[in-house]
Amino acid sequence: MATTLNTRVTRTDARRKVTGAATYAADEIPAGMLHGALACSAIAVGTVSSIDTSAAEAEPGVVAVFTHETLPDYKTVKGFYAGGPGSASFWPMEGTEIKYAGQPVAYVVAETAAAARRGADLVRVEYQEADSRIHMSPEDSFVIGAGEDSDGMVLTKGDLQAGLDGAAQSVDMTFTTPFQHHNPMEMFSATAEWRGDRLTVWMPSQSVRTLRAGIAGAYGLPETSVRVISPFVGGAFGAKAGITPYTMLTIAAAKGVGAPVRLIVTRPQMYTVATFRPETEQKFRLAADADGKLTAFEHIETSQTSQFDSVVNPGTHITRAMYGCPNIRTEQRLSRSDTNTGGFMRAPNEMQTFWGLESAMDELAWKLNMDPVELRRVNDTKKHPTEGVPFSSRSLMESYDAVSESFGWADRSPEIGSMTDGDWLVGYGCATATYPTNILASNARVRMQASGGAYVALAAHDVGTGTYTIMAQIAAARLGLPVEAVDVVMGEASFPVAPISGGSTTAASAGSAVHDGCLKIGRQVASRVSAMSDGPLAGVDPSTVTLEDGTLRGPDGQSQSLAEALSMLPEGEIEVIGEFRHPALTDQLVAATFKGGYGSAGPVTPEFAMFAFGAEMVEVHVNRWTHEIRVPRIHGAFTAGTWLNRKTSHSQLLGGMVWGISSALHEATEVDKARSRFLNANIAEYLIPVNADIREVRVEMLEEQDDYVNPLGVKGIGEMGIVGTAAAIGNAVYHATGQRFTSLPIRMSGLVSS
Amino acid sequence: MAVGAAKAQEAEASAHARTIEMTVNGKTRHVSVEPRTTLVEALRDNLGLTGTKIGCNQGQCGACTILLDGTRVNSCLTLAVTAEGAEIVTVEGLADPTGDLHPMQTAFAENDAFQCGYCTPGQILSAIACIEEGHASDAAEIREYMSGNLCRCGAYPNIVAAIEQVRDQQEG
Repeated sequence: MATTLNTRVTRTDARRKVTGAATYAADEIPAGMLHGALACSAIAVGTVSSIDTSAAEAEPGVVAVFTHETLPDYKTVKGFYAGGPGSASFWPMEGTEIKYAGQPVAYVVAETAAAARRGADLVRVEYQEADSRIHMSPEDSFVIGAGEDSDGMVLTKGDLQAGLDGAAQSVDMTFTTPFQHHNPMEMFSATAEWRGDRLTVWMPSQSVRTLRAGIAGAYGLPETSVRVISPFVGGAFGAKAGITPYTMLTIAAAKGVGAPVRLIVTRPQMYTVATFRPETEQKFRLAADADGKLTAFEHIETSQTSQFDSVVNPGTHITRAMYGCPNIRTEQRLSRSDTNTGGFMRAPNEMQTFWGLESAMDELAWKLNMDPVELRRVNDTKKHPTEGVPFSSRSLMESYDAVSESFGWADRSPEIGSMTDGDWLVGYGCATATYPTNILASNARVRMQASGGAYVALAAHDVGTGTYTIMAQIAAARLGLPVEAVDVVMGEASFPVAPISGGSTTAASAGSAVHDGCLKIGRQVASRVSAMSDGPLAGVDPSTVTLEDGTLRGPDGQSQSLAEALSMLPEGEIEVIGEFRHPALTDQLVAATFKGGYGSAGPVTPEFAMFAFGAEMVEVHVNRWTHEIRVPRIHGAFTAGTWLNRKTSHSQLLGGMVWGISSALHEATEVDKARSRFLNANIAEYLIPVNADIREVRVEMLEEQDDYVNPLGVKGIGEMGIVGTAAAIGNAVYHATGQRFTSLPIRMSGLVSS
Repeated sequence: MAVGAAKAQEAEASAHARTIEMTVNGKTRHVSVEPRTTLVEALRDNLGLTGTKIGCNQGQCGACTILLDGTRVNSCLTLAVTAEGAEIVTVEGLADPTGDLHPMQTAFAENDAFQCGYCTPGQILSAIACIEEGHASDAAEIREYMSGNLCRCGAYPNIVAAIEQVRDQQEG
């Protein structure tokens, strides 16, 4: 049977998704379930002086109103950035302290969702308000860690000043990016049901193992007493990874009322009860000789964080890997302000930093009077510029060449404003995309039956990424089965460990565990049939037998289909645990993943630097009268090792590029500075592209081989599409208008009439 | 809990609940709702038809789109009592009784017109209505008339392709 990998396979869960049969967490309605609702603080910083719950309690249908004084058996966990499973280190409703606007202050349980919401509206809270500040202040910032050489948060290589002094051209630019919120279409929810000291939690999750370990630890229960179920996730983008206060509040409330409780967080509350992308500032100093070779590279990133956590998403670790340069200095800083703790949102280290880097590279190309693609070419490097190790594979310029061809880059007239289409100024822009290849330990249960099917179970997640489908494809390819014959179950913590679905890790890491399980089945079946008295493989040394596309092959041309060999075993089936343990994974990293943490090796190991690369080109139209900005077409070419499924990979890269357009032209969480609140906390005023905003999007997936990253040769692609897009659009706007934008999003109000 | 249960019964009696009759996916259904109960909550919580999704509960995202007497509406902005006597079609009512998918469901699956699938039931019902209304003459018109259904995964070009495919099949 021909392999099903690297082809276009329709999602195995497509039927369930188009018929409404796919069950998302909030679709579970346990018998006797009550409804929860949150009341959230009206101030940003201060204390609660009193809470009057009487009106809420009198509301028909309201069953209970819990406050910090009355919620029984409420437990909390350590925050992610303090090494725990929680979304933040500060927990609301433990006391009277208010540390951010929209912090939960009361939890209402009612017979219906409408009664619960009405009850929450009727909770009356008096506060003592203190001064607050929501924006970060780069002047009031600090270096993460102990400074020089502390986890690379500050890094110096060569002599930056010498590189600046001797340069033919240089740029010194400061860029900013706003607060952003993930806004998955599925609202946050948690449903908790206690049966004695056994607990079941339904919650959309990117990490069911993190949830189970954290919740069980908090209540002092064995992990086997806690079920966490999340078979389908309606988008996550980083927002559904940790244990949030609303999770633990719901678990406590369910205990308090003695019935299952489901909380669906309202869309406005989603802006404050979980994480977000912090606002940032990106300072770049780049210098080059007359040929464009970089002589100096400095990047200082300052990122917003809360008063109680230090959110570390080190973007400088990625930017400094991009281009060869002898003199490099990077610094990673934080500035505190009065918000909940931010976190990781799709390409958390890359989106904002590549907006800066790739805009600055474009500016440098203009100063050098050089084609921006050629500037990337002369600075392409096969070795990591600061770590010194080679890239396991790097096809940046192959990506540029492919996208140049499909886009028609050669048709670009370089002068600013020289291309027009009626009333529209036309600009072309390009930028580099990348994503680090993170490697985590994973297991997977694989069972094959002689009657003609296989079963794969692992605690991985399909957050829309196509994971169900690619896991089935991998098993089908190795075991020689049709994709439909492989049942895949995921999204439950009791299944074999798989990593957090974050950092674009699942296909590579969890997929490699499924691959390993299939090979293990091949070895075990070969060993059994070779010991039999007859059959095609009888008497063959089993260590010489290989499994290829469902066929066992001996060294001298003997062969037997795996299914046939399996039918010779009295059991008629075999079940194994596949394991992925990349040599770069230390015991400590493996342990972290098994405890529900993020035990990632990479992207730099002692041997190699591992990154996926791509290049994006956009055409921007700017109306010369109204300043309306449109992106009629965007093309991207990407390289990421092996493509498992060209249909779902295409969708991930397409979706990433749409996110990039969104960051460039649409989305920002607006802020009320006076009251330290997020202002546009809904999905109409928080702008994201609608269908009419997206026109031609072309995705090209190029072949690349990488034998180091994992046995499948797969690099993660879920986040790469967004990286660089905003800069490509900004660069095109510059080409069209001569205006260089340094703040996102680029809005028509920012364009000056010429 | 004893307090809660007693109070809940009392609530039911005092909350002006009334029973309405609707035809949902071809079947007559009776639902007891309060005046403030939204149609989406009646469908999901009372009738267990959880295929219809809530994405904002504010009429902004279109995830809860259903067909009410043939017209696409946001069921989160529709009070259940106003649907008395109405014919409602949800995503569960699209495939025929033998399990054959509606052409729009097939086209969404084939064109990978979703990723997470959460906005998909609303997109599909909206897409069916978009063609019915005669608003699918070309890609630009489809994009415009499908702009009330947000997709955060960014599957828009594939959604347009799916609708064009069904439109062409119907015309062919």
